[in-house]
Amino acid sequence: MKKTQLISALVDLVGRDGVVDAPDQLIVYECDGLTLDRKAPHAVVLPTSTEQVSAVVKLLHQENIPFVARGAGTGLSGGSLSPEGGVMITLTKMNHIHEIDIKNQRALVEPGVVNLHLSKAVAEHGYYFVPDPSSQYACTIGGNIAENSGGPHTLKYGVTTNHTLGLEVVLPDGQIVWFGGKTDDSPGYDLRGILIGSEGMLGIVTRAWVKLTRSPQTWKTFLVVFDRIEDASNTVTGIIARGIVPDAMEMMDKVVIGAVEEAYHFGFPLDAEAVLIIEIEGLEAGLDTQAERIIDVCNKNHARDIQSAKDDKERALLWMSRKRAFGAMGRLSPSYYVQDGVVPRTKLPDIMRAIEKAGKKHNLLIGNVFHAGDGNIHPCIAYDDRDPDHSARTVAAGDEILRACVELGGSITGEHGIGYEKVDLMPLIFSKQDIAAMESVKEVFDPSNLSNPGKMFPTDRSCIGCGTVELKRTNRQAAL
Amino acid sequence: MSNEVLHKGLEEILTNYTPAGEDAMAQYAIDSMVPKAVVSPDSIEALASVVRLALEHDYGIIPRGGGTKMDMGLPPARADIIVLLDKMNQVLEHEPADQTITIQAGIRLSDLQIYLSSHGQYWPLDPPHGDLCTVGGVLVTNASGPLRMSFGAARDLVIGLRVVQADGTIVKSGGKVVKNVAGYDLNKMYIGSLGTLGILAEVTLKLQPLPERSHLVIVHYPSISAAVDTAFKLLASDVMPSFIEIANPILTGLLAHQSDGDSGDGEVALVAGFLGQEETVKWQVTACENLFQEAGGIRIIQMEGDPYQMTLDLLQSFPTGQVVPQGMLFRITCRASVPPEMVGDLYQKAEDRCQKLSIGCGMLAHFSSGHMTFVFYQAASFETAHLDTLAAVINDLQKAAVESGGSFVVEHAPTGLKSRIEVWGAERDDLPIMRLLKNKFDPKGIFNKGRFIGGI
Repeated sequence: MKKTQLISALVDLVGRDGVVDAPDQLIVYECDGLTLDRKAPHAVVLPTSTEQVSAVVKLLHQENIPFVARGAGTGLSGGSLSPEGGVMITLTKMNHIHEIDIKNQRALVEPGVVNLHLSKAVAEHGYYFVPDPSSQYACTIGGNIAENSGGPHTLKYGVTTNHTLGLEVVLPDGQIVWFGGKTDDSPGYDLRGILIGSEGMLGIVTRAWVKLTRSPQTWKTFLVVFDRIEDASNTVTGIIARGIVPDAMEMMDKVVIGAVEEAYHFGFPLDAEAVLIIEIEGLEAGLDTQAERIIDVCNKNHARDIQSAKDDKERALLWMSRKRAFGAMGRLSPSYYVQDGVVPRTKLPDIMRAIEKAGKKHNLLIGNVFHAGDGNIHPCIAYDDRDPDHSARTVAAGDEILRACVELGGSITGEHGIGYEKVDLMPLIFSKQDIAAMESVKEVFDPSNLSNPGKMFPTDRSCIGCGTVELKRTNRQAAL
Repeated sequence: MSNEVLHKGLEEILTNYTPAGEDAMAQYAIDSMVPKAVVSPDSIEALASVVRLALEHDYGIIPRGGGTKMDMGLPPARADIIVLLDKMNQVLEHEPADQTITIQAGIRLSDLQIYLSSHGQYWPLDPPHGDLCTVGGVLVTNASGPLRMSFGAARDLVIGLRVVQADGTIVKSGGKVVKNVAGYDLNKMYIGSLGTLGILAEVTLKLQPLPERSHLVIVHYPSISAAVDTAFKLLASDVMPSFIEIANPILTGLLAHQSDGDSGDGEVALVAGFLGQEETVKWQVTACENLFQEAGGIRIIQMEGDPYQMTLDLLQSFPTGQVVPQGMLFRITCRASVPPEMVGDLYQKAEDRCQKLSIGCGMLAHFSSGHMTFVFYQAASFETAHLDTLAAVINDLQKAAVESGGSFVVEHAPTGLKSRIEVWGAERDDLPIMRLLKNKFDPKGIFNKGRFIGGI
């Protein structure tokens, strides 16, 4: 099928205003939040219903054209990067909340519903949707499902998979199938569980039943200031070790504090080496006791100052500063590269030292802003994308940090996904056989390999560290 | 291959293998099918070598943990080798401060909890048969208990697995950290799979600190609908119970009897549990009592300490233990998953049908997750005509559950009934993908062939 034929066939299915094919308009869709890899799709389709998604996918399947689903494009691992010669199916027009069932504490939503919009829609009833990625003002629930997204407040209540009951999915051949449903359990294999976090490689979610959670009676948010990063890390480890699970426990280091303060003027202490944002929520009764225990751990670890947010406004500003910290980092350099790794919580001090070491070794400015309570680090490396040497050092440092995570018993991604970015790092934590099992699942759902191909799996597993892999990484460095 | 050759093959790969006698073997029969061999591998490698032997000579394997759910599902298509996990019961790695643990899957749940309690921790999953079942068995049957309201089900409490696949290879999914999205989340594929895709050998779990205080409040209502109404009021209040259970009259009577309390005819119990910090628990217990009073409840009792534990044990062990009266030899156990607002209707439907047929009926709902367990029982064996009537009842209940957006599966039933019903419920449109998955992961049908949904 020629491109012009394809476009007209797509227009037949979704209407002229549902297809984008002008080169200047396609630039928007060249990349997601990972800007170092870019590729414009052949065309972008914006369907408005499950039936349209199904019709489009059937056509692409028949013509053997690869495709990728996309929500708001806020992903950070290139998960929605277009495959070569592919069509992008953007789901932002499917943004209706079909049903809010407060009584049973669940909602039926389309994939294009913005994460925060769902929480806002149910707030008047005293409920919210737990996953709260930093991009929640823009990112979509379909994208959250594809990536199994987390966020600061998933420390206590779990990530997207723990809040998703059922999925209506358009399979890569165009069939529409429900996996799970409105209820907590479904007979048979938990295919919903496999689809969540499968990075759009097994099908396209067109509707989802998600759980709603009762908003807490009250909250307390603390800003704890430290003169040494080590002390902040030990505080996090100490709180978890005492069996206290706060709702959120986030760390920002000096570099990030400086950037955030310049951007949002919260009043962060610029001379501090690290701050922790610790939030506890729940019932009024007992919250003070919990707070005292947390403060006790902070003091034992030499906290310099402990402030608490005095009202909703201050709390909102504190969280806004935290959630837009990556954006603020943009003030420090032309580009920045956010990494995403995980370590066991007791290894937080070790990984912080490893990050510092990598920064010194490669002469790089690295800021840290991350979900400390989960051991989920986000070093943010400032670099100049016009300087090839600077870019190469950035990639090298990122790799070294992830390798350190693995050596400490952790993982190469806690919430951003493998996407395109980390395909060649998969062998660090998974054997050939482990990856083959995942590929078997892919073959079951998508035997033609059309749904978001080229993601997650290593490009050449039999040859790690030699020719092709090095070549790809060299290309990546050039692209940086 | 004759049995002799099988025994020889097993002797070669397992240091601890001796062929069992016929009587011993009969104990391991499943739906009257007697196996040819019973093995107890003591390591993941030994387990893998048994699987390779089975693959080479085309034997069917039935993995067995605590043996509490061996008649779950359809009768197996073959049952040549029973693989016991009883020798794989070790703690492999535990850093208490990380709140995670890695264990071998054959460890008994009660042994795990005893071990963890010495570190002030527990794994917050509380399925029936807690004293007998193994962690691996709990995972593959997706068993759960009252605590799922606050901590989720098996899928929410497992962060990593090592599995022996049907070709004898060992694969891992997930990892050892609490947050991890590297690769497909294959942990979910194995949990609830009834061992049809691989044998779980090692498991990494998420843990919780033991609560400072545990308390519960019981209230009685004359009807299930009144209990459900109050349960919804509780859900919508500031109170945050760790569990909300609704028990039908037979179980309610037993709960009351155990705590030297009273229960009127046909009364239904609503039980709310509170775990956590002392002040928080105290405040909630008072608020909960007030709410129950305002909602017209009777016989409100609160418990802690031993009475609390005895009541919780009774709830957690349902439908086993003392619920079914002595001598009621014929039992059918079912589990339903429905939206919470359907709990009352589905129970009433079951109760009405059972009364007409003079069949005993016990029911417990983990209310907020809409998870219901039913046990139907009678003293005499179910006659053929009776089996047909029972099949019709189950069929009706399945339809009602499906209409509400949920499901209804039969967990335990006499083999004669299994052939008259859809044990796993009516076929759903995701079954073709499940079949493909089974064929991909176990093309020869080595693992539990025939038992799972659609005869997978």
